Amino acid sequence: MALADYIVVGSGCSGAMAAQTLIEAGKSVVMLDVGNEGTTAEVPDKDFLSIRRQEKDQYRYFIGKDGEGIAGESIGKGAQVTPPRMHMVSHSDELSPIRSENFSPVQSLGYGGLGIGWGLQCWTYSDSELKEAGLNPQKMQAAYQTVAERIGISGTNDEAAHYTLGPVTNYQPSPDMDRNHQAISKQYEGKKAGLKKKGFTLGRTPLALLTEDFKGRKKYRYHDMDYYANPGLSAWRPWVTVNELRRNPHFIYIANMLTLSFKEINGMVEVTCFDTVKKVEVVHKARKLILAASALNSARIVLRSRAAYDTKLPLLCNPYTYIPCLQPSLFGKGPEAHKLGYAQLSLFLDEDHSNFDVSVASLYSYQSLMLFRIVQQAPLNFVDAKSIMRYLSTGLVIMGVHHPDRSSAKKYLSLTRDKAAVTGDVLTLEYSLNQKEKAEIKRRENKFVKAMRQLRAYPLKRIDPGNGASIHYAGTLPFSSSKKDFSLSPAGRLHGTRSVYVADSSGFTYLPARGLTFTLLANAHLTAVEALKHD
Amino acid sequence: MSKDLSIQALIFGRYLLKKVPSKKSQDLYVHIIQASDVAITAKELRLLSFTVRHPRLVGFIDSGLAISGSMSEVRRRIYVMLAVLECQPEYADKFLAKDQPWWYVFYILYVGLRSAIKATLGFILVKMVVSWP
Repeated sequence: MALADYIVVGSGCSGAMAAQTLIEAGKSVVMLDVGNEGTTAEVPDKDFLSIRRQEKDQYRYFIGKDGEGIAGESIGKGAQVTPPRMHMVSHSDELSPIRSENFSPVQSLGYGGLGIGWGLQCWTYSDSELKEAGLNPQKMQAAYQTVAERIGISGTNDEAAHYTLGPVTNYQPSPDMDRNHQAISKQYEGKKAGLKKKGFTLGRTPLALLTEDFKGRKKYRYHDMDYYANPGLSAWRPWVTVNELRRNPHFIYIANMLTLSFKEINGMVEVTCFDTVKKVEVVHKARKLILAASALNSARIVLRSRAAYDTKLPLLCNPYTYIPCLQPSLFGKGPEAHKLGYAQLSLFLDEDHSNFDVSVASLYSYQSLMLFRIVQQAPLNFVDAKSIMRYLSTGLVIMGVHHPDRSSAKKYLSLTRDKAAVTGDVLTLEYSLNQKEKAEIKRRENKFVKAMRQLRAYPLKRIDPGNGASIHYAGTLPFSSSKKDFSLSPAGRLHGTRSVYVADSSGFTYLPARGLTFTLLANAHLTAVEALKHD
Repeated sequence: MSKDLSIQALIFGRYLLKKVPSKKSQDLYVHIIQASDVAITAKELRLLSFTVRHPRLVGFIDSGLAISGSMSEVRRRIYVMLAVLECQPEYADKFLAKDQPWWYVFYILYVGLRSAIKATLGFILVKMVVSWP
């Protein structure tokens, strides 16, 4: 077999986007991936209410054939990992072991990576946030457009557009809002002036979700089965792109490959993998390597490749709190047929109107994650809790609040030897917020709570799901103009190498609160473009 | 063991639904509990045995465990049955939201009050059962 031009490690958001750029440039690409796939029974192409009333085997995807979806996480953290998505996290404990007392990340070795469970939010970063993160605003603006054209996004050019769509101009109309979001939106219209003075702006969340047919994929049909299925491929997931790439003769996808390390030798890159089925090491070669294994795992691979055990690398993660809120005006309503489970509104807190260091709350209504999950949250017997929650559930909105993050001495990871681990090592993580950070988070969340009360959605309590729960990780191999070890050039090339690039969020030197996925898609495309320039 | 689990399914299902649950849901409960293979302590076993011998007190046991903080094995099993029942099409309308008149809020307040009383009594009952020599 001829030597491939590129190896791309990982089939998640950044791997898929980088690979697409390389293939479009006429290069040959080998994608190495563990690529766990789902085995749950197929979900019928029906809406949630019809399925509930008709399908005898619905338990297979709602709770899992062995009940594996019952003892899951609470509604704010990881509840989106339903049985059809459990392959997203399977085997990660065994193959990508973590050791930490204060940080619980979610990792994925699934086909599509963490993108399998992505909430589809496509926020852009402002120019000042991009600069702070080590990214080039002009290049990123063009890259955002490219990504939007590739994956198809929907949004609204409303007064929050500078926080949401930014420079993106090619998008479809936002999906219809459900009654919970319509009620909040209506309240906001009446109280906008006061809320804006306090720094708040409410707007439609741009989503990687089609409201019009696009490139062979179908528009969303409001089945409200978003956590279980993706009929018509209306939601973009990384595997949608990888599936398309696999039709190209210059793209080879190799599954069951856990990338361990790399080395540059004789003008090419050798990548050593562990075959997870045959349980042997395998070497793959290419002219260049692009790591897109996520900030945690790309760092793991780099540390292992340099035998840099116990070397500390920085770690960024958005602090995250979720706050269930009640809308009394919607208690005791019947189920909603025309509905979607994705966040439809975002509330931004930008006190100095600088579009920098903004905190953001995503708002979600609740229906398709089933009643039993919220019944469990009530300190009541299940019969009475079911009666009460059934009445309240139509007025339930979950507010997920994210805050920006900066590096500090108490946020780092390192690779530690461990003979018991499959790979012989474990990633040790330490993450603590200092008092000033905690105080600022609390202050901002108090403001969000007051704002939601004004919008007639009354917060019940703040729930801290723990460090790592945001599933936004970055900054482990930060961008640097000086050629420091374990850092990336502005083009994404790993310093100390000629042909190794990192296309995920490892390079970000600051992590804005707005979800990073759309930005890392754009960055992955740009990294591939940079790698091509030096061919 | 399978027979014991079938009895639990019947008791918990009847408690949650106010009628005998379907054979399919009972079988699914048995399968899930067997598949979950969670270790059960001696105290939990005593509580579970008590619950099965006194099915009319399930509501109080459930209420008492609800305020004790942690998810006991007995409560987890009732929770499993709840999730199983919610996934049966014949019971869907007992779980899906329903249009209610404005005064229904008073019924909900009554349910909340009743639940608090049951929780107090249940808490005492649970303590007695697990502490009994």
